[in-house]
Amino acid sequence: MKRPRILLADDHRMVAEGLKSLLAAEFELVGVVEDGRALVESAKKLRPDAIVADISMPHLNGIDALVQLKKDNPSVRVVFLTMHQDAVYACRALEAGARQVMC
Amino acid sequence: MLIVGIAQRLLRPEFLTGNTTLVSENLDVPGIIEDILQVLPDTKNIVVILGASPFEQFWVAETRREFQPFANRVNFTWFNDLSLEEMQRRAAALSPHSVILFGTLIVDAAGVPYDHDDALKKLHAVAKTPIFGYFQSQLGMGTVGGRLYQDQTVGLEAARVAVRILNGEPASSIPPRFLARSLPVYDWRELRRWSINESRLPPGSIVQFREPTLWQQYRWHMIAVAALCLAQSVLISKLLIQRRRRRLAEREAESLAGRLITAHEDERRRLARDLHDDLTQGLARLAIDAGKIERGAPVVNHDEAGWSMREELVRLSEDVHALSYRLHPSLLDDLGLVEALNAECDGFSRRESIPVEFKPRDVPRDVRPDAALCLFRVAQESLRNVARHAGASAVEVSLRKVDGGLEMAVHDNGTGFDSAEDRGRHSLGLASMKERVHLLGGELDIDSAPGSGTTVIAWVRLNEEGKS
Repeated sequence: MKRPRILLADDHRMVAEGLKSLLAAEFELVGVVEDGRALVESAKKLRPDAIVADISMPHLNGIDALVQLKKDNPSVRVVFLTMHQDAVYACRALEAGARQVMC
Repeated sequence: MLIVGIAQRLLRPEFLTGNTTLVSENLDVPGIIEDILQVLPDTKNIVVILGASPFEQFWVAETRREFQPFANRVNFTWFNDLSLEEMQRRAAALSPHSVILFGTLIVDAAGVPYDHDDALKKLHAVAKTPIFGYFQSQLGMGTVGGRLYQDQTVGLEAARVAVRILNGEPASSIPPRFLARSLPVYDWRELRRWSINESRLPPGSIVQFREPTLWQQYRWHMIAVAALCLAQSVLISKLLIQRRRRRLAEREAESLAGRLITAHEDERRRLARDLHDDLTQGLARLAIDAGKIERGAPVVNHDEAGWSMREELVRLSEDVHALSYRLHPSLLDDLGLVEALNAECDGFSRRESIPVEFKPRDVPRDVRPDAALCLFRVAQESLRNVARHAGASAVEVSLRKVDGGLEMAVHDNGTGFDSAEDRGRHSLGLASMKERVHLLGGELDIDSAPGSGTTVIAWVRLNEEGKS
């Protein structure tokens, strides 16, 4: 069975490396990007099955990047991983169409 | 024939028979004495100057007679038997309350002829007393003045009649004429010299030779100089006021800068303590736990040890996040001013147990970052003040678009204070709020009164213009 294709977006390299090591066994990692704009560009190009992203990122935050991605591909699936404890982050992310938000 | 200047007392009827006419004026001799006693009532001695010619001797006799009625009021001294030199000598040594009445000096007692104006000038040069005269033509040569004989006017009128006669008019057809009395005339310089007040002059008196006052002479110069001085004074005052304001502002700025440095150092000290007390110690504990596992030390339960280490890591991570938020609220960058203020209000309500109502209205999605940060910090400081001083039970934070800018108001229902009285005593928090807002070309106002709560209103522009 083909492994789901995952795109990682996090500007914290160490966190990204940790996530890679966690996900590598079950998923095919198609790329790792470090800011919101790169996420939008790479997602359009690579068409991953799912995106795992941070919310706070340079240039464009994860939520705004998701809003842009949804215009291009309404069925895009995004899971947010964030350090922010504020519920407002989760609310905004889910409103924008995130599948899941993990704090 | 034309008879000119003859005194009426000398006129005989036969003079005017035949082809003859006359132009003259009656000399008012008693009037002259009355005028002297009117302007100088303290006069005790009148020195009469008349020469020794037959004409003058006639007048000595005439005037002696006419002065008789005044003999009980004033003494008359007659100089007609003196030479001019002697007259001068005596005139220079007259007792106080004396005056000189100068008639004519055609020839003195020594037989020396004079031009009478010349004699008058010589006497005037030495006399220490006022000199009065009989004739209009003497005024201006040193006489004080009075009811004068109009010798010049008589001369002028006589010339006119002469022209008529020369043009063929018979003299007898021109009626003989004594000119009407003129008004008393005085020399302003002599009045000043002898301190004669103009209010003492007979009614209708005319004052001639009046020197223009300094004000009349230099009025425009004085006005110009005064205006210049005034302008300079205004300028100097303005400069002084400006210097004072600048000094005050400099002192305030120095004091503010000093307090800001202290405040920054205090905040750094708190951050350092938090890093050291919480993070470093937590990390040290984790390092010890990890070391135990690494050395294969006897651990009761590996699962429990792993769980405990992860829990500690999560706690530390949250601490770091909180520290980071204190330094800069990432929410502001990620989700914007409205969400950041909303979260700040929620957090304040939870921490302080004071309900905060947040009311955003017509707030644009993209507020420029410096304006957003400014309003956020003002809100933070205002809420901190509410918690510290207000004793409030409810707070309302509103945010709305006003006049091309954003206006935020933080209102509490606490004790309030007299904002007019406390205006000078700026707290550091208030000073830094004002500074932040002014840097963006905005305005900050505090409205408060004892018992009426406090409202902090901050307004900043939404566009970049006007930023100072």
